Amino acid sequence: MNAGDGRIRVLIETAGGAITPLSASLLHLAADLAESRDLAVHAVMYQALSHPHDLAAAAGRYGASVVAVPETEMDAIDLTAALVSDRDQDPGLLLTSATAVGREVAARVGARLDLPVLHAATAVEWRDGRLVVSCPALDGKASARTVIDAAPTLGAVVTVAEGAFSGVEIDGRPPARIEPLHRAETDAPWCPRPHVTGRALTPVDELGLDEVDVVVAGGMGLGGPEGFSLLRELAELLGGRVGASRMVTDRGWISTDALVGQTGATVAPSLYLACGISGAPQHVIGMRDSATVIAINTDAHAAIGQVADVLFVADARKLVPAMIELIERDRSNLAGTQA
Amino acid sequence: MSALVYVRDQLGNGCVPRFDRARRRADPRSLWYRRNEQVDAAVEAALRCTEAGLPVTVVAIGPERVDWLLKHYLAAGATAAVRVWSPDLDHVELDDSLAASLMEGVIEQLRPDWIWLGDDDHGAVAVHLAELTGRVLAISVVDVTGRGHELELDRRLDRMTERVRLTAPGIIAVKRGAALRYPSHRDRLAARQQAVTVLDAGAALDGIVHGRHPTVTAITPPKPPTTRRRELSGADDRVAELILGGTGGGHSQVVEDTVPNMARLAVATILDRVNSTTPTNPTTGDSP
Repeated sequence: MNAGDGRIRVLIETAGGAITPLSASLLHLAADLAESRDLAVHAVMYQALSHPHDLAAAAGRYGASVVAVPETEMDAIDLTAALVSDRDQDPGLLLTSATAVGREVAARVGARLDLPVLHAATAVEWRDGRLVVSCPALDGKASARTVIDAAPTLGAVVTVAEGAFSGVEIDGRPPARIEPLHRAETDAPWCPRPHVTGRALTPVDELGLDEVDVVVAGGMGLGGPEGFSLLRELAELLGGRVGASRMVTDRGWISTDALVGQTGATVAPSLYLACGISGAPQHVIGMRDSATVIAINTDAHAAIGQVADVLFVADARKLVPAMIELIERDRSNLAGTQA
Repeated sequence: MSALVYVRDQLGNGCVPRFDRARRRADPRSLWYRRNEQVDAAVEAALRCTEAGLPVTVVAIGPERVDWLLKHYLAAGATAAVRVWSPDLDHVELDDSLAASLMEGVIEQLRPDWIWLGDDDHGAVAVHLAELTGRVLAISVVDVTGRGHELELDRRLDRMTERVRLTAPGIIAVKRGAALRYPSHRDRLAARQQAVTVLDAGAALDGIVHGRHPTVTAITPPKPPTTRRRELSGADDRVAELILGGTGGGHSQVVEDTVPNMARLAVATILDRVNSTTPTNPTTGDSP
């Protein structure tokens, strides 16, 4: 690829009109990769927006020079058609998040253009002029490094999992230029679509542990099943779900649905609150990608402190009720102010 | 009405692979396997959505080793088992596109109405199959209702549940669902006697071009968790320090104080994290 004529395309998603943290991290990664190779970063939206200029400003701060926005929301089939419509151009690198839409578009574009598709990348970097991508292998028990030759053209699709990278805004960067994302004639007219009959926000209690923003997890330090009543109360106040370590699910203090770790769910929430959890490697492997980890443990040297951002040295059975009381008071004060 | 389920196993929870770095692969003798939850859910959904007496075929790609998995699904109610294999597959990486190409050959022979797969997030075999066969596709499926040629599915998007209706022939990748039924002892014994049909993948492999695809150059154990520990001295202004400097900075801060003080610090830190990431409805932009 010649300097200056290449591009990295990034499929971005928004929530409430703002770029999601995962999409921000993709843009930041793309900007890092583009900088040393004189490439352009093009953000691609599939959701229609009423205020695209706000999005363009934010995309620009994360490093995009162009943001393509559709007039009406596109599904994975529309988006694939739009992304592969300019076949005469170098496909470059396409980065997507490992969400349902991102995964489907990545695989469809890869299949349509015969490009390698690498899933859930944990590292993407240039080495000796070649793109090196590290992804989980052997069911997450290993990491496989794949090298993609950048000459004469770089063509690859990479999906990125939540928590693998962080997004950093750089002040002073100009807003991205807004371009319309045109609905292309699909080159796969045989591709039928499912008939969508409804769409609704999923209640938190129906979300899986790996889907919520807050996980309040408990371990042996809770002393018994009654400790989990406190955690449920705290999780409900924070809009999260209750998780647990293996030791407590084995004892039947809580069902195995709550298990986090090597034998349970792997989670990467915005906030992971570990209450009375020692931090055995089998547990840590399932929560170490959480954005913020707050631990409560009576042992200041507990292993959970190795992965926690903050470790409160306390008995969770005493600290959690005090926290619940403070949050409830805070909420009632707020409600009183608003009334 | 017939169904085909693409099944695979996965490494056991306590399995610790030994790596042969020179050959860029794990020593097969160090590996042991268990069933995959998403595949279990796909098999169960296929069994429930297929009328009694009609065929549900389970298909795996792999050496004789995977017969244990096929036999388990036969015991649970599948009517036939197929294993696709060629010794040549020992020397290539079975990526999503190759798996889909091999499955396409089986699909052409069996012509099932529904193709079911487990959706374990990283796999994209279902999408590749949809591209190859032109069938309607639903991934991230968490609930299935109906039976026969038309099914109602709930698929999980980012914090959204979308209900879709699919008409056969189609492909369904199940992310979550009912637990697989437990086979009786009699069914297990009967399954042991059932034959697994072995299809030679050699011919299909010959037709698959890998020229452009990259190769794995290294395989390594995952890195241990990073140490983020840092002692914090001084008791004042901790909230600000915890919020502004503590989280995500690469160091852990240890706080020892009275319960009320720690509760205040913990709540301030937690609310700061939670309020900065309040989920919103992707359609309306509203907070729930």
